[in-house]
Amino acid sequence: MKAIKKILSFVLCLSLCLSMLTVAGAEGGKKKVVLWTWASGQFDAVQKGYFATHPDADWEFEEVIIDADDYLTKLQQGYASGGDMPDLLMGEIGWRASSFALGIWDNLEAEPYNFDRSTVLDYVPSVTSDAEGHVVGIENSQNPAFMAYKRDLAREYLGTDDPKELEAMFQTYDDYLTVGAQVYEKSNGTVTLFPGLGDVMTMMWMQRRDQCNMNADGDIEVSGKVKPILEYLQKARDAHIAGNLTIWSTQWYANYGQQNNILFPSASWSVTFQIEPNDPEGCAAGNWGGFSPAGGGYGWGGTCYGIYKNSEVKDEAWDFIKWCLLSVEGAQYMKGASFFTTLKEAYDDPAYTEGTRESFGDQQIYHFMMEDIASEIPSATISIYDSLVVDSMNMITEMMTADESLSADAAYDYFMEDLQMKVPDVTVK
Amino acid sequence: MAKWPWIFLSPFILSYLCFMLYPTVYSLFVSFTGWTAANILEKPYVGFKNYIRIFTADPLFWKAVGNTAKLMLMAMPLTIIAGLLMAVLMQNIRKGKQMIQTINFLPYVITPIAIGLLFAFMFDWNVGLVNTALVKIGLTDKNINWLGTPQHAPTVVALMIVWKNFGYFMVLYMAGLSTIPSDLYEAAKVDGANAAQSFFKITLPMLRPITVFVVINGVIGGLQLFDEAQQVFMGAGSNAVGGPMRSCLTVIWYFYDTSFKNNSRYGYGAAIAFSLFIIIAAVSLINVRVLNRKEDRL
Repeated sequence: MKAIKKILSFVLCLSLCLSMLTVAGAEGGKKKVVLWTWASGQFDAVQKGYFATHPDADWEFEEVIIDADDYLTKLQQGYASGGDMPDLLMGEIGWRASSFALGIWDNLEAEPYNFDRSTVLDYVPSVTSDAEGHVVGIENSQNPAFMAYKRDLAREYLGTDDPKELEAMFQTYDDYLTVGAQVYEKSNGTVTLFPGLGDVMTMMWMQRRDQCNMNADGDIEVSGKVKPILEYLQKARDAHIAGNLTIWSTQWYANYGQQNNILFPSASWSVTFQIEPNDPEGCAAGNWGGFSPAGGGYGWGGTCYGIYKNSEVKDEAWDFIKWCLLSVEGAQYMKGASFFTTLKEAYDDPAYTEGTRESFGDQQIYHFMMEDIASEIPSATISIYDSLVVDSMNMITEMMTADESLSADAAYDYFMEDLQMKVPDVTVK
Repeated sequence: MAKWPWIFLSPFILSYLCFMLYPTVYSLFVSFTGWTAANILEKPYVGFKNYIRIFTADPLFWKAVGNTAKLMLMAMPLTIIAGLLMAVLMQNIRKGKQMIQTINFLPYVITPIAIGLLFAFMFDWNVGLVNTALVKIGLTDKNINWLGTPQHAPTVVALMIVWKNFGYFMVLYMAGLSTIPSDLYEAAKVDGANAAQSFFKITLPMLRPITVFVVINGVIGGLQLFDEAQQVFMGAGSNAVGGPMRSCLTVIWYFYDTSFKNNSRYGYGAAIAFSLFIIIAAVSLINVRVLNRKEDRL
C-alpha cells in the first residue's frame, strides 16, 4: 500500500512539473497578437491568407471572445485595473466614441504607423477619429445598407420582383404607407411590409447618421431627428405596414425564413449574418433581391480595428491590419464575408465589385452594394452619448409597438424625459 | 499568544481582507469621486456630491427603488405563502416525497439566464405558451404583450421570482416544521381542533422564527434583484434597459447600467451601491424591530 502511495505521489509530482514546463515553454514561444472580438472566426480566412503571403511572420494570432455588449466594459475594467489588454482593439460604431475617449487607442497617423487618411474613402476618417481628430481605427468595411426583399412575396403582393420597379414604387416614405396598407388588406393581416417598427426606426435613424447626437456645446441635441421618426412610426403602426417583432429577437431572426414580411432593411453584413443562415431554402432558390430604399442608401453598423497604445507587438498588429484592411489583396479575402474595404485603390479595379451570390440570384449584388448604395451613404458622426440615445429610442419604439394608443407626441415627451433622467447634468434638446 | 490559531485562520483572514474588506472600502472611496470611463486615469474627489444628487436630483434612482419595492411586494407574499403551503403539503405526502421536493427546489438552482429565456419564451407576445393557452381556453381573444408593456412586464418578473424562490422557502419551512413537537397537534386533536385550527393556532406561530428569517432574507434578496429581471427581457430580444418604460429597472440594474454599461460613471455607480446599502440596512432594521416587537407581544 505504501509503495502504491509513493508511486502515485511521484506520478502526480511529475505531471505537475511537466505541465509547468509546458506552460513555461509556451510562454517562451512565438509572439502573440491578441484580438478581443465578438465576431469569432471573422478573420480565419484572412489570417490564412496573411500567413500564406507573409512566410516571415513569426507570430501567432489569438482571439479572445468577448460579447459585443460587454466589450467596452471589459476594456474599461482591464485598463483601469492594469489587467490584460488586447493588442488589437475593436470599436463598434454605436459606442466607439466612448471607447476612443478612454485614450487607449494609438494614433495611427503617427510613428510607427504613418497611416495616410487620403487612402480611404472620404467619409471614413470622421468615424475613426478620436476627439482630437487623430485617426485611431481602420474601418473594416463600408457597411452599405439597402432594402432587401423576398422575390416571391414581392411578385404576389407588389406585382413585380424587379429591383428597379420596386425602387420606383417606393420613392418616398409615404409610399411605404400606401402600399403597406394595401398589402396588409390583401393578405388579411397575415403579411406586412416590414417585420417590426424597430426595423423602420433603425433604417430612418441610420439615414440620419450625419446628424450628431451631441452639439458643439457638448449638449445632447436630437429633437430634430427623433420627432420626425416618431411621427412616421405612428403612421406606420396605424397603417399596419410593420409586424410586431422586436428587432434582434430570436423570432426576428427566424422570421427571415418565414413568409410574413416582404421588405427587410439590411446592411451588407445582414446577408451573411441574417438572411443566409435563417433562410437557406429561399437563398438556395435565389429568392432575395435588393433595391435602394426611399431616402437613399445608408450606412449601418461598422467596426473599426486599432492598436492598444501599450501593446508590445505593435509592428506585427499593424502589419496584419494593414494587409487585411488596407491592401487590395486583403480586400479580396474580406469580400468573401461581405466586408467591403474602405480602401479607395481597391475600387480602381472594376472586377472588385463584380459578382453574384446564390441568395440574390443573378442580381449583381456586390456592384449594387458597393457602387450604387455606397455612393449614397451620408457621412457619419459619433458621440459619447450614442448608446444612451439609442437605448431610449429602442425603448420608445418598443412602446409604440406595444401600445397602439401611444401618440408620437406622447412618445416624444417620454423619450426626452427618459433621456434627461439618464444624464441630469447634460442639457437634452 | 498562541500562533497556531492565527496560522490556521490566516487563509480566511487574508482572503477576507483582500477580496471582501479591501474592495468594499475601496468602493466607498470611489463613491466620493467623480471617476468616469471618459477620464479613466483620474479620480477627482467630489465629496458628497454623488450622494446628494442620488437622493435629491436623480429621478431614475427613485424610479428604480420604487420598481424594486413594487416587484418585491408583488413577489414576496406569494413566495412565502407558496413555500409554506408546499412545506405543509409535503409533510402529508408519503409517496414520491423526495422527488416532489427536488422538483420544487430545482428552479432555485437553475441559472438565471436559463430562467430568463424560459420565461421569455413562455410569455412571448406572438408564440408564447401562456398566450396560446389563454386564447384556447377563451380568457382572451387577442394575444397579450406580456413583456412589452409596463402594465404586464412587472407581473412576469414577479412570477419568475416566485417560481424561482418558493422551493427554497419550502425547504426552510420544512426544516421549521420538523422542529414542532407532534404532541402539540395530538393535544389539539384531543381538544377537538380541526386541521385549519391546528395550522393557524400551532403551525403558523411555531414557524414565526423561520418567517422572520425568510422575510428579512427575502427583502435583502429582493432589493438586490437584477439578473432575473434583466435576463427575461434579454431573452425576449429587448435592448431596452429596465424593460418597457423602465418599469422593471431595479436598483442593481440601474447601478450596473450606470457603472459599466451606458454611462460608465464608476464614482456615481459606487455611490448608488452604497445608497442601496443604506436602504437595505434601514429596511432590515425596521423589519427586525417590527417582527421582534410582535414576537415579544406573543
